[in-house]
Amino acid sequence: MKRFINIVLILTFAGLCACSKASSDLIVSIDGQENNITKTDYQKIEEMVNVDDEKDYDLLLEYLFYQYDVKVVEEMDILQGDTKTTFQWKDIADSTFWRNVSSLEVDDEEYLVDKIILRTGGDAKFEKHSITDIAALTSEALSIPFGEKESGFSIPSGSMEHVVWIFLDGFGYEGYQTAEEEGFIPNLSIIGELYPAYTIYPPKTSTSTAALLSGLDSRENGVWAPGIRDLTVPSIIDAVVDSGKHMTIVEGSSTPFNYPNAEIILSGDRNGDGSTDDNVFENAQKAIAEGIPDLIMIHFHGIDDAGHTYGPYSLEWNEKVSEVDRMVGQLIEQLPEKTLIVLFPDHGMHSIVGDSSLGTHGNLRLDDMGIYIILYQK
Amino acid sequence: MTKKNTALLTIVLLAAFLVGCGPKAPDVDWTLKISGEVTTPLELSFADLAAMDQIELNDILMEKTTGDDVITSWSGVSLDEILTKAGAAADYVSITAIASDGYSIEITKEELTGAIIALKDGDDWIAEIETDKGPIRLVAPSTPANRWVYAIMELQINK
Ligand SMILES: [Zn+2]
Ligand SMILES: [Zn+2]
Repeated sequence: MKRFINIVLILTFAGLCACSKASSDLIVSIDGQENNITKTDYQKIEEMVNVDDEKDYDLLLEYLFYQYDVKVVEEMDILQGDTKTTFQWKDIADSTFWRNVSSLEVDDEEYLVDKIILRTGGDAKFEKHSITDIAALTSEALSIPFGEKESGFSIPSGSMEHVVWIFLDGFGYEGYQTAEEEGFIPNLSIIGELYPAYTIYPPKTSTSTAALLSGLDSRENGVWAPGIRDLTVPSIIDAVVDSGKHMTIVEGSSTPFNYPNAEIILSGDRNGDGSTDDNVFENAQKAIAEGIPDLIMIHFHGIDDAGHTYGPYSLEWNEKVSEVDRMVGQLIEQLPEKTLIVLFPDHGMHSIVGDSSLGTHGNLRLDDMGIYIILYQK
Repeated sequence: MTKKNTALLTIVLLAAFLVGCGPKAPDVDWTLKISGEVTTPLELSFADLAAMDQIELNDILMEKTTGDDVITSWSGVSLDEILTKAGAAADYVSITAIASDGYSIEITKEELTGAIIALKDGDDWIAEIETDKGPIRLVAPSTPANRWVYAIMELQINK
């Protein structure tokens, strides 16, 4: 019996030691605010990202930062004992993975880390609005019940008969600004009022679309990683349809996300000119002419495609931006009175490190996360 | 176990093995609908598709948007044969393919040159290797592989 008690005592002591020491925890300091990250925190985030057993995503470290509402990272120091290594986030965002609670992989190198010091960036002007405001705004304008949130915009309830979403894939805030300065967007730059906003993380088409339709952040709507195509929370499409109204979505050649209950018009590249934007434009014109639905989403993919293939701000990108601007101008002219036009991108884009002729998006950097919402009441 | 029983068991196992490896298609519950600009809308079961002439596409390039391109081989039913069977308009411009998860894609006639509805990936039935991707997929050598939709449930012919 005595021996048993001894064992219990030893075990208890060992347990206490392990608990108080917790040497495997990670300290993350965000602009001076310290957070303690435990193994359980790591597992929770890991499971959230790999919701689907079939997929095994590498967990980008950014997922951890986004938990603390970080939208843009400038610099990161990693501390291992007395050694400090500083990284510019733009150089490593894509190649920094969270392997275990205090184990990182940066550019193919493993680091066992005691502490991460983060200096964030961005701009307060983006904080006021989010891509998640658009669903609430639409429900307010059409006076249909949807969710608890208010959009933060002042469109009188029920003041609109139609809402038109013009979805400019990959044409983020920085892209817009550059194009405006260069004079590529004579139509877009005079339409309505522009509100800077943030998109959600990860800034990808499907995840942003989920946030757009649900009015909820990726941390709340379950669509946290590319590859998930369905919402498990209510969507604005259902709210529109449940109110006896109609929603049409004019897509490119395929659906990047599932849109149950909406009428879907696909726009394949039927003329084989390498872009679906002209087909989207034609189908949108037709849908509006045949009796504009209560809510219509028109998704132009070309700017994003040109950015991926030739790089943002390339000659091809400039041309595509001008072309889309012309089409949007014409569509707006065609729209009837009492229509609320909402123009927005899903995310921005940046040039790939070391190769400016290729573009990508998906990181906590301002050129990916910074977007805008343009409102115009016709 | 007696010698006789062992022999019997061997025969049974051998027979099972031979049947398993034979040309017989797996028993799969799947229907492919052909609709739109056709004279005869069709509903083809997996068994119907398996009973049609099987075409082999050997060593074709699978152009990937992410990662490296790969060379693959597939077999299945010629899309043209299915279209003929359904009486698709000769001047159709594109096909909208709808997958079981709700994904839909419009693919032009030009992209569909030489396409098949594949039942086998190499020598293996897709149904037996890709459990969640449906038993059939489009294989269209004239267009990148991100457009080779899998788990197709419907083909709508557009004019
Ligand atoms: Zn996008
Ligand atoms: Zn993109």
